[in-house]
Amino acid sequence: MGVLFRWISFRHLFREPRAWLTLIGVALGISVFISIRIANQSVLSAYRHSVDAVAGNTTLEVAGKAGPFDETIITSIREAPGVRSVAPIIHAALPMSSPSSTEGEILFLMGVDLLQEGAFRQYEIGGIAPEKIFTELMEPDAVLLTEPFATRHQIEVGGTISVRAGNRNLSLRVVGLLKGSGLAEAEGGNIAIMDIASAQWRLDKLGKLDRIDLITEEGTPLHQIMKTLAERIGPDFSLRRPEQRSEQVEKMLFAFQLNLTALSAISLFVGIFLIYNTLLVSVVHRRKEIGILRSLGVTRLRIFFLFLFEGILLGTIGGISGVIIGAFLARGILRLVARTVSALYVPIPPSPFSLPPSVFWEGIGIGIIVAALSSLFPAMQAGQLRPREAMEGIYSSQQAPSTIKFLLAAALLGVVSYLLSQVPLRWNLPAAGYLAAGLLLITFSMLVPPALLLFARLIEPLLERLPPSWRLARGHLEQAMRRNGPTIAAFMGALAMMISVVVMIESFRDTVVLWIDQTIKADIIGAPASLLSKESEETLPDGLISEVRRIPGVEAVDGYRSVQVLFREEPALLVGRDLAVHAAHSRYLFRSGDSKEIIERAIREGTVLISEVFANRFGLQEGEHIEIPSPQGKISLEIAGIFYEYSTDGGKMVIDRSLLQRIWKDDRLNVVAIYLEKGSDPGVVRQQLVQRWGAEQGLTFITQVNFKNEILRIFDQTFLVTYALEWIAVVVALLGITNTLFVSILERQREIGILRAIGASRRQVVEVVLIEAFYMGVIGNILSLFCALFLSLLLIFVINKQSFGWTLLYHYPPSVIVHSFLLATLTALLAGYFPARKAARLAVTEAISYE
Amino acid sequence: MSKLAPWLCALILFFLIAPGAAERPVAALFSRSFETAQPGYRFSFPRDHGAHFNFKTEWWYFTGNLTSGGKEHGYELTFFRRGVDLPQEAAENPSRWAVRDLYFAHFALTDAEGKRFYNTDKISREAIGKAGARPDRLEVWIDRWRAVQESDGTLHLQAEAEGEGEEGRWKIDLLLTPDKPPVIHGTEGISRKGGEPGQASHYISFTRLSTRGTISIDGKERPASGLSWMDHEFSSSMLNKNQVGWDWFSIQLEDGREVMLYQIRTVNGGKDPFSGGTVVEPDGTARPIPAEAFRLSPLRRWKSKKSGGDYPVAWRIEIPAERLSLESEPILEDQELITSKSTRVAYWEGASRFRGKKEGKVIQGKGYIEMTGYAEPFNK
Repeated sequence: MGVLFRWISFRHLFREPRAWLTLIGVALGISVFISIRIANQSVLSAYRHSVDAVAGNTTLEVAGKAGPFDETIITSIREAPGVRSVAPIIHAALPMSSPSSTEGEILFLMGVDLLQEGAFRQYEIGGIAPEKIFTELMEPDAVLLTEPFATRHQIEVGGTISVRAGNRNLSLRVVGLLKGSGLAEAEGGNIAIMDIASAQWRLDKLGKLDRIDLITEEGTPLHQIMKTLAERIGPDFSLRRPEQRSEQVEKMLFAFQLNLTALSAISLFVGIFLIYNTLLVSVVHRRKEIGILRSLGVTRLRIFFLFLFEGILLGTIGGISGVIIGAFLARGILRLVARTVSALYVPIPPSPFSLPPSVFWEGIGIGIIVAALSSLFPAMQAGQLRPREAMEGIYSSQQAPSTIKFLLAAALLGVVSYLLSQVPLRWNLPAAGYLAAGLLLITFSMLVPPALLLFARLIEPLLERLPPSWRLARGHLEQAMRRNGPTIAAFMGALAMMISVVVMIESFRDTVVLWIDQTIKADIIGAPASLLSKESEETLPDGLISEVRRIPGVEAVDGYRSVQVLFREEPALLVGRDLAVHAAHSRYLFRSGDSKEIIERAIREGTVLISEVFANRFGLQEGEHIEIPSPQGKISLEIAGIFYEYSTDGGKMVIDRSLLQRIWKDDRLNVVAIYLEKGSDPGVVRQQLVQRWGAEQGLTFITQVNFKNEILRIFDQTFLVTYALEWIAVVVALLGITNTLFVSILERQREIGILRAIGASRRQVVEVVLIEAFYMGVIGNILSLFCALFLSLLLIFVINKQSFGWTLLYHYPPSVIVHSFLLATLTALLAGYFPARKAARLAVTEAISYE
Repeated sequence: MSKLAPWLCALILFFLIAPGAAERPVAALFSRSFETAQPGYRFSFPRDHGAHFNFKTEWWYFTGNLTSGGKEHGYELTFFRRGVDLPQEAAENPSRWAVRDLYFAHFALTDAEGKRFYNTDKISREAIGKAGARPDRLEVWIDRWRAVQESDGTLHLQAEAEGEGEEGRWKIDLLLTPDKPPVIHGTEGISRKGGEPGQASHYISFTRLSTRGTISIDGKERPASGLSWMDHEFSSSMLNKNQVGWDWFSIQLEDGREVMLYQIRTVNGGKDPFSGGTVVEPDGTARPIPAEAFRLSPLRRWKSKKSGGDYPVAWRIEIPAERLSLESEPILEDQELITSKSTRVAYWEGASRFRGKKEGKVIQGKGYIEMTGYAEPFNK
């Protein structure tokens, strides 16, 4: 068997460009899949690594549900049974301003009691004499930086750095460097250590702590310790294992990453088809050989395995090359994914690119499975060939299933797909949605043969006036349905997925544009420069709002303050804003009800408004009461309205600023929305604002137009990965069509020879092949447009809605039809070009004698 | 490059034992001035068993020889307080985490029969009750290590090693009842340690504390009883550059007397003239012993593999004026404390047996010997 396989398979496999095309296609498909996997894993492991480095030996963390909490709670935690060590933590994310190379970066400052830290975290301190560390670090502005960070920005021990803390500049003196593994690896090195006393003082958190880390006794079960501790600290605190932070992020990113994986699987899907096709060709091509082998006594089973192995060989080589290409591809994709995740979810530290060895085996494994699946049918066909039939090159007498059967199957699958789309979300996994999408693709694949016949019949009368090549091509299209069918189906599938994703993104974008236009009415937005980095805790200068109000031309100012709370044990955003100003000048797009009315009720009755995503995330309805943790304990507020919002992933709760000020005792602001009087020039007012607060305070003032553009820029940036994946799928599909047409030429060598013999020119031969490719492209395209229509509905209203909670307005842009037609035609023609040239070059006599 | 543990040790070295001269020279930066031990100090108890925050350094030393199930054990539980000089700006920090005093504690347990010596230590800032000491009576603690004098005069000691696994689990829980009133060492209320004015300490001892309670080793708790000794000393200036370490003896004789002796060793290996001691009569009256009135001679040495320190673990003690001559023998040779899991700060503090003659009659006793500055000069 081994020898036989080597002799027969290798010879054929790599003699033809087809095999190489297949290999490239499979390798590309696997590489895309693998690179997304690597990127997803790298992002998570970077986050996990950072969390682990910060957590160290911590077994439990206590945090305030309403943010920073009174430090005295630490005494009762220390005395709790099962608690061995307790460490107070202050933390803050501080935007950096100097040295200049750090601008735009965030420094995560951690205030700790270094005397106890040895039990908790791994410190390796350099650049300072050991006996000086403690005294030096007692200075109020002294910090330890990490060595990688200091090296990156050429900061030396003794030097200073500047950060923004709240609304002030803070100048910090570097007294030593953290090295090696452990804490130095947290937050990608952007971490600074300060003494807890100085951190409280300098960050305006006297009397407060942000977190308390615990090390528990090993002898007692953790859940038992947690139970007694929870009773001790009461409902205003959350208690969790540090790993839960990673788990939460994993959960949060699950839908996003699953989406990417699903997208990357498109290329893989096309890859399956490629192998299927190549092997089918192999079977066709080697009928004679199979016949000879069979008559020499080689069993059916052996023939079957021969082809199966050939497929698996392709899959293995494709898998290996896929991993190699994927490893390269992953670097770029990782950057894109990390950027998107940071913009939408949590700050991801610069992710060290890690290539786990398991990925290698995964790639090969996927290659083999894909290959085995796709070569099963061709291998079975080869095994079923009868020796005489094979040797004489007679087609198997098997008939293609009838059109009716195809239609029935499609109808059945379509109904199942529809039913699946109605299944609600389970275990956070829109599995039914993805399954429905998969079935939908198969449904439309089933429609290919009937559509092909219909197409052939419909165009027949149109072709009478055209040159004979058009009719010849049509005839062949119909004849070779069994081979053309799968090609068109695969092409249709790739195209449909692409179109539907485009439709989804376009719908999303249109929705966002509409939302921006209807809700962002402020003429100028004022915020710290770090406004757009999600993690920044920077606030505006005190008294800014009243000063802005006095600027000529300013009609009203809406002050906006957001605080992080733990709502039902999950991090959530609570916004306090001047709702009266918002009601008068702007609006919320409520799911139901009038914006002004609902907002006014919220002010009057002190109710809460929540975004749609937030409502979906926690399953909330209008009129329900929710309990929000606050510094004064839990407050119960009625949901007055649910509004559409597309700016943050987790959604938000909005209350009137006066309520937030009263309960949180917090007068600070993060953003101001400035409304101008009619006729006043935003440019002029902005100029004044910039002069007053721009340079000195580092605030930015963005006009409405620029703000809208900025939002859209971020939006587009987050979909870069999606687009990249799409294009790769199309390239793989292109290889598929080329491949199929090659087969077509092979099968028709004799026919082409006869054509040439009876006087057809090379040019005409090229035409026939290209026209057939064109027909295939057109059928694929038309079907894909219909398929995409349903698929995009599924994506938008089932998968996306279940995964992310956004309601999007459906928009199937007509331009998609034109673009996809152009793309399909060009792709088909491009793919047909090389096979056509090959056909034209065939020597007449050789071609005729081919059998 | 350094890991956290060594520099914590360096810290202990720096704050605890280094004399004033080694500290930051720019006095103007400092915000806190300390009193020095002056003659004529008026003691008042129980207040003076409490902390003296006006003094820079203060410690409470508890040592004792216990019998548990017929087996000999020794323990040491020591609390140190060190007032910290802060840079002016840091001193203004109103945070409750700002360091005013540093607290250290050493805890050791000797198992003579099992030939095991357990020791561990701690460091902490006040940190909202994590560590602290009361100024009005004896109560000093770090975490769950605590020494407190109850209203009836009984002292309660608790400490528990927090190491990992069974190996690291050993603890004491003891009640100490003073058999005699507190002794004030030295003359005029000060115990001189050098020639400079203020180079002295206020030094108080409970020389005979009947002790009962429990000790636990490897998680097994057993009742124990015996005799303990408490030293409480506070000062702002102790050793000078010339002094490299000391040998300290606390001896509880079976005739109801106690003897305390200390000799300060100088760089050239001699005995500093400011060494001294005290004899306490069975009725509690105390009599100082000047440096020239006693003689200490090493009998046998033991070399530590951990620190390289070469300790005279057995001594001959002669006080001719008291007609007392004793020889000491440790209950275990290795009773060396390595603080903060490092070899930088090491000293020997061990339970010892004493045997010899008092006025011609055979006499026995138990006690503790402390030897510092053998592993590495403290003034380095």
